[in-house]
Amino acid sequence: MPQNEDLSPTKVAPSFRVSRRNFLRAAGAGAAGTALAAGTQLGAVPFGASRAAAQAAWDQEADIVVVGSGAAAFTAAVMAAELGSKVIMLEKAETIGGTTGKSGGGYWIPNNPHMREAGLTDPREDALRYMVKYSYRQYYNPDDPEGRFGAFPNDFALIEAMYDNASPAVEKLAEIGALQSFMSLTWDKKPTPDYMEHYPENKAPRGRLISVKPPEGATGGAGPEMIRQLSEAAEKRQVPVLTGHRVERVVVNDAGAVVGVEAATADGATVAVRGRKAVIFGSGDFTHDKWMVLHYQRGPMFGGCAVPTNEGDFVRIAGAVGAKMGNMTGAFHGQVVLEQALEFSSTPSDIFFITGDTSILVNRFGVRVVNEKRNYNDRTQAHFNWDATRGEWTNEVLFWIYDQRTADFWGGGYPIPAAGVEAPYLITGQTLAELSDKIDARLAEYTGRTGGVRLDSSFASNLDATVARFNAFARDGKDPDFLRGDFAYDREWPTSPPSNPDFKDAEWPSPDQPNITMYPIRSEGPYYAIAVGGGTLTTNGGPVINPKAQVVNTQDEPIAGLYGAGTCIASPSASAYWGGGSTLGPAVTFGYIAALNAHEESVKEV
Amino acid sequence: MPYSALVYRDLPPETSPARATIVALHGATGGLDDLVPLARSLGSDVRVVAPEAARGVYTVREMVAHTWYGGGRAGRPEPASFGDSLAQIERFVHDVRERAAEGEPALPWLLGYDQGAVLALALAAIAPDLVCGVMAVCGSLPTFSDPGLLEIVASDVPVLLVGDRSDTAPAEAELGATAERFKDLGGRVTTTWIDDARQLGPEVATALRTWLDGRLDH
Repeated sequence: MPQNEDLSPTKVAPSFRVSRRNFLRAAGAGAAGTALAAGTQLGAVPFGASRAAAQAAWDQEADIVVVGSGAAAFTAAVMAAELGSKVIMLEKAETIGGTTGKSGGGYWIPNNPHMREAGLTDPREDALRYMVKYSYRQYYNPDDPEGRFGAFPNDFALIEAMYDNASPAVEKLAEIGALQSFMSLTWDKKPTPDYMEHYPENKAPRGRLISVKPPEGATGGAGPEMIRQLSEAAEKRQVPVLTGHRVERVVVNDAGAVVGVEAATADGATVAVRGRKAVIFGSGDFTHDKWMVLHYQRGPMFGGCAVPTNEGDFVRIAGAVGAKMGNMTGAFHGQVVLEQALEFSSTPSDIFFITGDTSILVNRFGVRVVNEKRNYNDRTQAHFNWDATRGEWTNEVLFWIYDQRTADFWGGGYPIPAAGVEAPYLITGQTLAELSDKIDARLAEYTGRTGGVRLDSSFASNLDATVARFNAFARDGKDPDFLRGDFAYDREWPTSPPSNPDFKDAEWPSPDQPNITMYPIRSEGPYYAIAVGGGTLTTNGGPVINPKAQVVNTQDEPIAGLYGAGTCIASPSASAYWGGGSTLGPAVTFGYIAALNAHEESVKEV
Repeated sequence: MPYSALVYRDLPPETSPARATIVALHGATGGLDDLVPLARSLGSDVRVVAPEAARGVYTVREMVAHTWYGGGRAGRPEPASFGDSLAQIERFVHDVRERAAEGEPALPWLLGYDQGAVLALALAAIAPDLVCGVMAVCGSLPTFSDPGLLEIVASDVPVLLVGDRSDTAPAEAELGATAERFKDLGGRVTTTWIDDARQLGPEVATALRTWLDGRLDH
């Protein structure tokens, strides 16, 4: 069957019956813009003007109110309840789990118990050096007389808090039966390497990624299993989770302390919920607020994997009580299949790996721009290159090019389709020249949604040269342009033996393959291309917290009664992905820290 | 360009001409090939088109499965991801129609299992003119907090509901409510209960084939 051949300008799209907008609204999403347009305030309200004051009663009361229901929120709720606080959780969506429920469920935990059991040491100072260098590369100073390796005081304190509390959080959650874990391994059964395992400062380059451990015999796992275990632990501790409750405002007393929240329900009611000690936000990022993405994020962005209810509510709410914002230009990035990012409200999946040893990524000039075997977060940075002369993002859309060898060996691993499977996003050509023409024709279909990206006239000839150059590197086993394959991460995660069962007995790596991440692209077609854009797993900017997970104001003083963890706050790692699980690791850790400290707070008068 | 972004397998009939086109929608944590054997068993003269949910699901070790939408139970979906998938399937059906060969039936039958059954029923309910009928195994019309979310207009669309006597989902009441909803709007509904229907074994195949043959002979 021909793929995507119908480029007829006379084709008239049918009138579709399904309105995604209605479903988004029903999901609790898509409200930010409309609410603001209608004058509804996301922010803060003095107690005297609140619903609780008007009706002389709160609708619900707890010691601690937790907003959200992902990893950070559930960890905070379970731990606070375990310590003896009465907790109530409010979730904006109709279902629990947030983006954690879509995730791989891995969490990056330095010096974790599984490492220690395996005899892997993870000294504190070396770990801090690694984390600071990766997070704040431009400031890193190993000889900093202040002992912070060049980081700003609060940034360094958060990294220290991460190291000091991550493993205790994991151990405590396991001890109380709330969340079990195991050490993640690569395809060749080694503890997984960090994403910059080759930094000389990284003295514990393997084993920090752990994953949620399902019960014996279970087939499910990952993020959904993490939510299942944590929600079960919350239920056992009598923590109610009210779904369909969008927190719109915090309620503050005369002293400026946060003493509760007001939430809107799906049927239009407002409920006032008191948090006698504190309110902890774990309410997710701002991926789906297009204005925030446009104005805060760097470069062109296509979609995001966060659940559609992640609309940056905490930015507006905490901003109203004077919170300091941080890392607003940051995100945990991932590459996405362009067509899918354009067609779904929440990008279904990111491109975790560029699989295949004959795969390359080229820009609209037909030139490689990145080591294709690096991790998703770092790889995506290549999209944000501004050309000062042309006045354009030269890498806004990249093209994953591969040949039949990769199609055969790794077909069926997303997004490379298995044999006999048609993928509307896949572009094919019998020659590289034909492939180039078809890529450009495809881009023409999307000009209204991509800023008009088209192939440069030099693309086809440059692609020939790029392939020839790559093939020479593959034969030599060395990639002097991008050092592909020089690092354990390149060789052990995105590179693996053929995953297609039909080729499981194929000889791989080939005897003439000195570098297992590269093999010469065939001189004969067919050739394949997938258009790839830069997107997010989640953004990771928001209110800044201190090492106690308290949200701070612009004077760096804690805002009494207000805590945050997860992707709704300014990320303690900035935008670095220290290793696999660098979204959930800090989320669990700072959710844990927030619970410990919120539990110790005194009851606040209203 | 196709309207849908879903990947799919398109299997022509073993014997021509095609008597029917079956769009086979897999269940939660599944893949596009899951229903192909069952769909193939409906006759050598059926064309089988099997799309795959776009959302990858991580299982114990690897991303090896796909799911149409979030939410705890198939019949109680998370609305946003459900809406995305329903919109994609509607577009996919248009693509299937446009790709139909000369002399081949353009309107497809929907065969769905679990989440796929829920989506098949939902599409048939809101756009009955796009399909010949629905075979829904272990699925019912979805329920949302807002009951008006699905603008159901189904008229005389034929529907086969297959429930699993050995499983609690969907419950008898849910299948019953689905049947009544379609009947109220002129649908012709048959409900069958089979032990271990979730295994998609020979009994299910026989029930589907018998029902489909009865409709095609008309």
